[in-house]
Amino acid sequence: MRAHGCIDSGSHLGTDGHACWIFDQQQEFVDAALEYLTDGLRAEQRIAYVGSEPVEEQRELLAPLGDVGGLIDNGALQLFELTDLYEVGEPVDADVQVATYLAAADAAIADGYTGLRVAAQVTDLVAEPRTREAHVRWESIADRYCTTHPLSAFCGYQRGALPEQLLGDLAAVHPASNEGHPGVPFHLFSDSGNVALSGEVDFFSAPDFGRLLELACEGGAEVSLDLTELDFIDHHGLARLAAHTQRLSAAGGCAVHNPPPVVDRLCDLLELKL
Amino acid sequence: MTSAPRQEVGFRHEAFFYADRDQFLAGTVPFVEAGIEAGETVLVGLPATKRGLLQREVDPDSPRLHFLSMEEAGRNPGRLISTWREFLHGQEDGGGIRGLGETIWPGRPSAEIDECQRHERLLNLAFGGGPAWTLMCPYDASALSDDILDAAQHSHAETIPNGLLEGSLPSPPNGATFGMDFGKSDLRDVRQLVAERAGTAGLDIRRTEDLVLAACEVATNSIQHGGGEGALRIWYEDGKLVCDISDAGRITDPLVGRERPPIDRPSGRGLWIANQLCDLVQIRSGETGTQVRLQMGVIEP
Repeated sequence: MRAHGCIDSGSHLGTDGHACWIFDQQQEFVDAALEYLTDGLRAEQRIAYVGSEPVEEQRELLAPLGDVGGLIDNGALQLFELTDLYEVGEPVDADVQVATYLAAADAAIADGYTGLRVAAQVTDLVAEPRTREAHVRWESIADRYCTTHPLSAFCGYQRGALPEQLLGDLAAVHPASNEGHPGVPFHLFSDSGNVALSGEVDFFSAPDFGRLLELACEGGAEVSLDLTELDFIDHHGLARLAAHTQRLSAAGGCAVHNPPPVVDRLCDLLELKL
Repeated sequence: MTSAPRQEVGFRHEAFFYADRDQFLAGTVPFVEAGIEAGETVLVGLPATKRGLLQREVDPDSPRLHFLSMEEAGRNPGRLISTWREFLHGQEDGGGIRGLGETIWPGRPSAEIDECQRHERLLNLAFGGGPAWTLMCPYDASALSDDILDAAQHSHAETIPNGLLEGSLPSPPNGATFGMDFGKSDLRDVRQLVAERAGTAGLDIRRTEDLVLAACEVATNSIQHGGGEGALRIWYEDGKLVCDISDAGRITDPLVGRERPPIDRPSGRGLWIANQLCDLVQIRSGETGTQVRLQMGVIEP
């Protein structure tokens, strides 16, 4: 299974990793991103850094990587300002972004790298409230591509600049995040063609769970939800899950795999069908 | 104005005292056979030895006769009202039903007997005014205390029981009691503490998961309905792990947690789930607040 759950560094996230790193000070993100990118160099991936600051500043931030100039010159490291890749302030167009990132991943392979690894400090993309819903959805979509393409990402969001609710949503749609309890009790992410649910869902997280489940597990095509890594769910959470699978049963279906035995017992007690 | 005497229709709840094996059979066999002859469906819930006695005297293959183990179905008497309710619903088109239920037998721990006595009184509340059926409750008069037999006389005669949630639960025994106060940010810690104590006490994974879920559901009720916070105490006692959750709220429905909640009603499920998962659930509520005590045997009884 992919690296998931609560993390305390940018290391060891794997070549299919996708992590959310919530930080207070810029340097906290840079330190973790350096760990993450160093792993990428070791894995012979092309590494990239995306941020709001000018590229010249990024070069200084990444100096601990070693010969930054040399890495850039030989194509091992690419630097982007946010405005190079996104229309900052507008809701993200997921199709356009998917095309951009997949082309970059393909180019990395064509150039002899094992894949592409991106550390992106994208707080400014969600500064405008109207961009937020589309962005959370985009993160969930991007997560799926990290499992199907030679692509991995480390996404930074600055705490003070964004509402806690949004930070919780963003962390929950990444397999891994540095925000443990109580902010992010569960994660919904792609794994082996399924959507995996990990962590805990109770009365207080059930509304967020229901909302993000709809976003991560959309109808239209067949969807599978894997509960192997689910540590706890109460009847409030289970009711949300059952409501969602019932809704999707008309639109391609939502198969639920590996429910913990206690989930089966609770379904029997409440006459719920997953 | 005077009111007319109440007609004895609807639910009939009868205590039956027997002193020995012969008296037991002399009372129960005709009761069961009369039901079958009248075209009724009969559900018999007895402890194993009594079940064996009766099964030898009646036609066990009668399609109208069903037996259940009271040690299992009545282990937590808080489940029995929904058991009888489902039996009643299942026979709506038939020729009537009758039941035989012995929940209080010699040697049951006092906490269980207390809950069985409350259950007996709640039956009148749950089924009084509903469809006509008869439930006979055998009591072993040779071995049960006079107090229990007196209470049985009373509980089967009363029509409007009250004070069913009153009373207090005994204090934890001296020794290691773990505990924490909790609010809305602490459900995870509640689950962790229960899981940790269950592990130390030696409960298996299934019983641990069930107790953790039940405790979390009850603690959630405290936060939702009991003033936003509560207190958990947990201890080991006589082969059981006991979780006691108290809060400042007040429960007024004495049947809380005993009837299967309708699928379209969002609330009232927590205590019902706890009753289905735990070996015993004790609920007390009054002016000073609500106390819910969950028991889970280390080994399945």
